[in-house]
Amino acid sequence: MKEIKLKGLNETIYTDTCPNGLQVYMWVKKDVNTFYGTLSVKYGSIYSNFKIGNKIYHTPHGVAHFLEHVKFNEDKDTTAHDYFFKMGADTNAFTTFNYTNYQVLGSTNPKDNIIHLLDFVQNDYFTKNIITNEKGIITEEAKMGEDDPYTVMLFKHLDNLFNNNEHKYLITGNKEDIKDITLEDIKLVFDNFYHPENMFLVVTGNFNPYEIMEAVRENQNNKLFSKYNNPQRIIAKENKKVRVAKEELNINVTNKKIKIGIKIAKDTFKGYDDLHIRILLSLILRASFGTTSDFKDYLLEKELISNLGYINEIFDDYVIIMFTIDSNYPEEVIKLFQDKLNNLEVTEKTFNRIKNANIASLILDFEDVEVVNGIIQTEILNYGDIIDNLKEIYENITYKDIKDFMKYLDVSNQSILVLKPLE
Amino acid sequence: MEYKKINCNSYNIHTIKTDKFKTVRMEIIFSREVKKEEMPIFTFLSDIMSDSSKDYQRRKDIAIRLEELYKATFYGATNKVGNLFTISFILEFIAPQYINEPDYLKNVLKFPFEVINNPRVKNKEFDLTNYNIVKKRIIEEIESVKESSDKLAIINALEKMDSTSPSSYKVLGDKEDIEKITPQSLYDAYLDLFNHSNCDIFLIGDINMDECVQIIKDNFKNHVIKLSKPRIIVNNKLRKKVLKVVENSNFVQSTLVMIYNIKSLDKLMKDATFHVFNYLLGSGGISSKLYKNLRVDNSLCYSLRSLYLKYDELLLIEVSLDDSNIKKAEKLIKKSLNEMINGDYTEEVIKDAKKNLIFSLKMGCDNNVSILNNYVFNYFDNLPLLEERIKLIENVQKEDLIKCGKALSINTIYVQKSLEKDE
Repeated sequence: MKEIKLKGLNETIYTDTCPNGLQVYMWVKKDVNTFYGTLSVKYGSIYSNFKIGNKIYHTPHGVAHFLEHVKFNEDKDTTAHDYFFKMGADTNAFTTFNYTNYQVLGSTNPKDNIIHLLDFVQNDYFTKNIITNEKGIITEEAKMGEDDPYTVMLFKHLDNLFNNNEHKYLITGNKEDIKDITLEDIKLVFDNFYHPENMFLVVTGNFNPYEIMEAVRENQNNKLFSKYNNPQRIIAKENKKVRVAKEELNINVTNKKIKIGIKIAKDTFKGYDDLHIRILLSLILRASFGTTSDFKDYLLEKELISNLGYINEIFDDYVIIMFTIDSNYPEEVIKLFQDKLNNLEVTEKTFNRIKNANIASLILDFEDVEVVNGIIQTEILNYGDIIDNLKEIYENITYKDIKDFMKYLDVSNQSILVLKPLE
Repeated sequence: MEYKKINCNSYNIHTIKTDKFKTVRMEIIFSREVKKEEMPIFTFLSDIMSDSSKDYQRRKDIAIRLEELYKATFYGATNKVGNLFTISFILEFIAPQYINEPDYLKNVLKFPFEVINNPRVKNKEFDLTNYNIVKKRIIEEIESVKESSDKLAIINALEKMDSTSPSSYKVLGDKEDIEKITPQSLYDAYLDLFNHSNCDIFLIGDINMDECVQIIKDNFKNHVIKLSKPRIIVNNKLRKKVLKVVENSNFVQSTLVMIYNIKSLDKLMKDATFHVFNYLLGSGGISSKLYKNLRVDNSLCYSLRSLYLKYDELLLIEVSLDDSNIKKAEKLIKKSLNEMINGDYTEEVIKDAKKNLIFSLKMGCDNNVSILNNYVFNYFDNLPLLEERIKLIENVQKEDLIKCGKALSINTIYVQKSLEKDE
């Protein structure tokens, strides 16, 4: 087993790979009562179209999420919930755009719980009856989303930003998609994506990593898996321009909201890897639009806004920046945003303060078993490996790096969504 | 873990020394009995007091100072638990041993006192700009409740149950309550806060507690003699005939809320037994009776809530679902409760539920907020500490659970009807 030392953080990640390809990552914290195991499958809602060799497959939207729901059935009368309930452990799962994650959180018998996590996720029990029963439940979940204005806003905005890219579709699928999902779709996806080579296990908390690794290896060696077909997601060709530049919509909000989305082709940032794009962009956004920024302070003081938040993501070949603003003066605020975006500036003093605060956060992150588990998942999914020198990377970023990066920041390709209360 | 209570005449300092966490948390808690008309103004006050001060005139300035203090966090919060109303100022910061700065502990610990002792007040009025920013934010927060179907249904159901009961009072109040508050009345409330509240400061972390106590004493002068602790339990009236209310909404799903009074349980039953009862009934997730009857066997819903409002002596069950299934859901909820009263569950299931609850409590032992909260309620209500609660849960017997079921008396059935009829 390999030990990855996280430089400057005094933390160690244990890692190993099973002969069948399952990767395992572990972080030990001896003074807690709990352990947290997550099994991630690199298959999420954006994988509706894929190919194996030359054969192309299309599935309805929402299959990843549907499969996550029915995965808990272990046989006719048993679910994974029954097992973990008996063990005094908690289990759950979620589906994102790019992966599906199954979890167990417990305080005793980490080995048995982790092994059962592997067993139920890798078990192929699906029936027509299960699929039929689950449709009602998932339809109600999708309707809950329709009642949540933040979900409606987010996906409407993504739909306007993207022309064809799968990030524009609901993770659950809509009611029609859910109706269309069949047992065959579920089996097709399970057989091809739920393979150890396409999964990774992360265990954090209080346990013996050598004992866990031995048990996992033995468990995987005792299972038969067919050859990994290495299915490839088909990424729809995406026009660089946003689909809809501006739209107004009446939905169930009580006050007006604005969403400003910026879509930048990733290849604009020549010479920057994904990690540096994320770090540098976060620093710039925080300095320019965060609570310590003059711009946000001005908008609040003039009572033009009551809230302002932002996120930045990399979706396939695009960097997406999304602002969500609560404001009753959309036109004025949008104008001020355009001025600000076209004249971004970060002072050296601000840069140093934010950089130091972020470094302090890195130290604090390694305190909570769930947070650390999430960090490991994100690094594996985004970068394919553990970043062992993240603190160093932050420390080495200079003010000049920020200035240089800002030259590439083209904010012209925007999609603006204004949401108003129902009339 | 070492707990100490230091009597400082007009306030107490409670220190919880543990080396389990890298962060240190301090909560300055002002407490008093719930009064409907007081809660909105104190909520406004806690918000404006943590948003600005004489030295830090804007939220931006406070945020910059917090970043300089290595990303410390500081905020005000109000909370209502039964008949107890708390106005808290919360500081969390990285333990000094991780920071190479000699005066760091002193600087970070005195910061919240600098802020709350020196509000931005002139001529006995809070600053108008800060006032307007906070007012706008709170009004929007109040209005945003209308965007959330489940929150709105729960608030309305409690109000219909008894609008004169503290259980139905809203911490933020209504828009009209906020409109009535002036910069002058806020300053009166500020004086009232210090003159007519109990004050307790809780501190948890791996630091030299004697040094901390001295720093607090040097920076916080509170001249008010302590008052007696308020009675925390709300005695909600029983109903001879169930109140049934149906109201229309704009939501896609309907929401059903059923409220039960919990009659005359002793402290042990309230502190331990009822938690096991509720776990088996609905709070225990998919393995519980309500989930089994409504979701697993009948596909009526995605999620539901069974809330034990201990200090209100109420049990509240909430489920969002298709309008056509409301009657069926009501019957299934009653059926689930009858099964609980009839003891329709095995000793093994009880044992498993206890195991799960104990796991949750053990998880609480890994979290500084949970530990601190436990000491807060140990002080206010003699709530046993986490280790002791584990023992109490272990001793719960089936006959006690049946008694919990028999202690329930239906009070209100509230339906928030959806706008559209689903196909």
